[in-house]
Amino acid sequence: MGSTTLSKLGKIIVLTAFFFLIYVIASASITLLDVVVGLAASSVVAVLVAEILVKSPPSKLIDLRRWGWYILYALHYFTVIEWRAHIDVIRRILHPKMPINPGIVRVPYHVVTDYATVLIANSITNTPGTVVVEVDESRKYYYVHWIDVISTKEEICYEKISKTFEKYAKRIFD
Amino acid sequence: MRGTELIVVMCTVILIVAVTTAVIMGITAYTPGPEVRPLAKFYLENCLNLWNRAYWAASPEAVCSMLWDYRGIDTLYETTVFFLAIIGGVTVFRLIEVTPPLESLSEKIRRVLGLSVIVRTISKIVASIILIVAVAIAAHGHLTPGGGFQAGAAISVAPLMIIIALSRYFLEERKLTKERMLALRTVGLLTIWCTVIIPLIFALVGQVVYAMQNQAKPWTTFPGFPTGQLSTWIAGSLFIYNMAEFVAVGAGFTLLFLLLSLPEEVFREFMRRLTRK
Repeated sequence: MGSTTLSKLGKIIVLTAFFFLIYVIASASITLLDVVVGLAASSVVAVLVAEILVKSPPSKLIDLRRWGWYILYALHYFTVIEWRAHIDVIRRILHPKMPINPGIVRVPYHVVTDYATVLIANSITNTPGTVVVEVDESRKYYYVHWIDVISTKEEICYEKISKTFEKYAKRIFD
Repeated sequence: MRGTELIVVMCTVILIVAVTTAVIMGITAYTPGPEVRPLAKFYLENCLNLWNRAYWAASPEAVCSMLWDYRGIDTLYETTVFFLAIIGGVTVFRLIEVTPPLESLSEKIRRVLGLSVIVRTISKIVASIILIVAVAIAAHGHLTPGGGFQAGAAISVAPLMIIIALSRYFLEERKLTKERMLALRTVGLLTIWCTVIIPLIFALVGQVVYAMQNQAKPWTTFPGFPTGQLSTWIAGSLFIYNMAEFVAVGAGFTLLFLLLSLPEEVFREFMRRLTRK
């Protein structure tokens, strides 16, 4: 068995486990029938989408350090980062002078994989105040609509908007 | 100016009259009461009656037992008619024999194929999850709300998303062609029809049989389809019907989406070439 076959098999096994978990959650039951039908369907779906979903070797999928960073990021993002962004936008809305200074800025990114790119982009969009409106994949830029454009300099935008996200995204997906 | 005003006035009057009539009818006309009517009572008492199996359908889901057992013939012809509708769709699009190769497309079309990396990546993940959730809906059709048609409609959203986010060429390259979808659709429908006539085969050996229904009736000697045990309750033929309908409907919708997703410019170019010949 060649290394490519082995790597494909690894991907399929990991994805089958993932899809079977979703099957059990979606159907909310785990009887003998579910195990038989669920595992059969999961393996078929895994074979169909393995090469589409996972381009890296399967060892990356079960790397516990990456999963650890992922959980840490989720905790950090959904508590501290979201809180700060919400408070900032709420303050701007309630302020009698409505201190906004909107505009679209160019933010560079330095990650390689699609998943890391998407993680950063969606993290930017999901925090109030910033929205990714366009991605330039060939030149590696996000175009971000920002509620308060402090500066249009790329380094400052990167520092203020996406540096934290990128730090995590690199450790999770790259 | 006068004419416009007249139309506005008339429309307003018609609207007021229509709304008033609807409200009055809603108040005074017959509305079903909270009590269970005799027909509903029959289904509720019989669809999973383990103590009196004379008219049972072996399905905890009353809707599923109606669809594929009590009024099964109706669903059978319904799904056949849907198949004919798909055939009609394929016939309308018969002009397009093959998908034009990617290289033959103009630069203008090639540039708009597929969306940004964000939409592409998320669509891939969501489409994969839709595939497995749809199977869960189909396999639990006889236990929980859902069933073959719903699952088929759900799974066809996955190729639709992929067509929008990554273009139909992404599917064609992975051999998800309309010919294969038509074959899958046919296999699904044939499975349903074969399951319908299985009891009739037993008539050849002198049994008293029935068609379409799931479980044995008081006057038949054919024992009915196996219902399964507690943890593997498959409700006789209902499980087969649901899974086959799932395949048939999913493939049917996917086929239609593939046909409809041809870029208009490609279609026009094809027609131009056809008329020039």
